[in-house]
Amino acid sequence: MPRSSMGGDDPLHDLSGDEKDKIEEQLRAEARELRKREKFKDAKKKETRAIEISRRKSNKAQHH
Amino acid sequence: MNKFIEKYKILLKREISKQNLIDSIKLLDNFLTQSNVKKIEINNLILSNRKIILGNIIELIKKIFNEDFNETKNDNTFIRDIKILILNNLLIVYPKVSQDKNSFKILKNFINNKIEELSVKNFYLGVLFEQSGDFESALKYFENSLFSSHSDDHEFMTLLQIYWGRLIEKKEYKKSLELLLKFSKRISVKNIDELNSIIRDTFDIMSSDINLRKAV
Repeated sequence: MPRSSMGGDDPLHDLSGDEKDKIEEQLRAEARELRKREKFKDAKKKETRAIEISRRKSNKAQHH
Repeated sequence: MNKFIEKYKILLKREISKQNLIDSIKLLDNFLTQSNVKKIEINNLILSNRKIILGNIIELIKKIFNEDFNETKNDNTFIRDIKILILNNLLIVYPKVSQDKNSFKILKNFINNKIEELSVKNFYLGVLFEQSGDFESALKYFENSLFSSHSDDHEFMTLLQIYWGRLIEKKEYKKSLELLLKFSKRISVKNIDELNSIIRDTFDIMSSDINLRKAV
């Protein structure tokens, strides 16, 4: 199987650092508002998305 | 390849939902088929977005998370990333899967063996235990996730908020404030305003709760 067909070494499948920070901050703010209204499940949805967006991808993808 | 990457990014930014779960499964299936790795043979009921029964989801977990598609070898991490996207949606949309003993074991193995970053691994274990009903263990994992992250890491503020949020839900106000105070010394300058917002929110939540209790 050719390596290029798998995409794990392709940094394009990750978002840029600035984009991540912006999205995560927005999601956290939205989650806090939801938690204040006791909408816990919706708050967790936002925070779980923020974690996956911030998660570092393959080692090669970290260097972009 | 690009069409898969673009689809992945769209799904990553989209709200967690049943539709997002289905689209993430479709993405994995299409990608595996195109790459000649393996066909998952997903039950059509799941892809049709009609009423999904728990049994079908449990069967799907076996096919997706119990299978090793060599996703941590030879830079095949794109497959693992799509699987984590599925996990994200699955744990929130279908919390009952965490209460099925076999699914719980499969998902726990996947998290332990395939997610490398300790802080993120602990976070997912926290969600898995929380959805299974074991809140005490979940809280420990959320705490571990925060303590295994550095204040300069991307995910640090999110992990802090997640642990704080769980304490708030349990009405552990004193503990939540102690947590914020503890990290106020370690936090990056760029995050100070956000930390102050969390502290203000804590007092808002506390006061509304106290007022509510007085009214009762």
